[in-house]
Amino acid sequence: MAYPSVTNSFTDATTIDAVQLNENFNDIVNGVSDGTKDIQVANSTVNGYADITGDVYTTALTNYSNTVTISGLDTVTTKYFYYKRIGNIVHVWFYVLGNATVGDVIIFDLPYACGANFLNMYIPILTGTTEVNGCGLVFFNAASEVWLYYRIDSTKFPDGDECASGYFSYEAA
Amino acid sequence: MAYPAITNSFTSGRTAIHSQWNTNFADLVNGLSDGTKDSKINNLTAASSLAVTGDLHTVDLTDYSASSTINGWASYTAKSIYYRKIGKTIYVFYQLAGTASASISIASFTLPYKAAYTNNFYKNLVWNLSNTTYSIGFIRLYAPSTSTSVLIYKDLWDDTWTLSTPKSSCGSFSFEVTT
Repeated sequence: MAYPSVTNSFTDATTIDAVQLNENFNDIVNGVSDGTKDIQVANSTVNGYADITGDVYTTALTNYSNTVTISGLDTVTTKYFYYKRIGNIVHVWFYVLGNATVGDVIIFDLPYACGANFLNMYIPILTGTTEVNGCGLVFFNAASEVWLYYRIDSTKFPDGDECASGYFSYEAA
Repeated sequence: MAYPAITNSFTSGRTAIHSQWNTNFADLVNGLSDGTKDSKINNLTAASSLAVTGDLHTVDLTDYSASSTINGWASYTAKSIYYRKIGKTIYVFYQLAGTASASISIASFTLPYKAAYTNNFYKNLVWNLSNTTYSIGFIRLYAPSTSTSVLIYKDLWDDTWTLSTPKSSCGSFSFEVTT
């Protein structure tokens, strides 16, 4: 798809065809009103509502299962990590199943660094051992990483199989 | 509200009135910048910010409770399933309360969209009451193509609810859809 454009180019010191002039004006009017053209601007302010037929994103839904850095598990059996960024809001959906000889928190990196006001925040998630069956926590330990606790009192995961699943959103820095 | 429009149309063979050109150009500039005109475009790329004073939606807040297929309740004292679609993200807010079915021990409802994730992993915590017991349960989405159904687990272990007793669940969650 293309940006709005005008059909005719005029030359100095020549008579302008009014039809062509009208066409150019209409090109621009149609370009911002018929729904077929793209627009690229620096900032946009909508006084009323914005009705979006397609998607709204800064970064569309992204599967980062293969690039996420996970620590706290000796082996990772299954992992699904997705995120989507809309403006400065980052949505994260995740599932991880693995095993650690010595239980601890599970740590993974965020797709975007979080704002300082999110540091030390807790968000409840689902946790368990071979499957999720209890309530644990996401803890924003640092701008670029979160810790997963096994239980809501900040109990760490036990030795052996560990599983966590949940959704949270945060504000990017 | 209207789309940007120009004031003057010109006719060949007549002397141009340059102030009318200026008016037309001003019409366009103002129409794109003074906040009084609508715009309908294909894609919008804002290199910096997008500020929306009013609402932002693809599908405005919609009460889906009358259309949803709900399982597990015999009667309701509260029945609301709202969703809003912004782009491909669905935001759901629901409250179902009443008396449990005498024969269906699960709790579920349908939504008009299927989740986009390639696996059935998505779960989110919700608040529940089964008979006289309050609990934190979770909703589970089946994705991407098996079902539009949302299954409500009574607690963190079990999706089986007590029959014919008070039954409530409410929560909010969001997920990504395929279209």
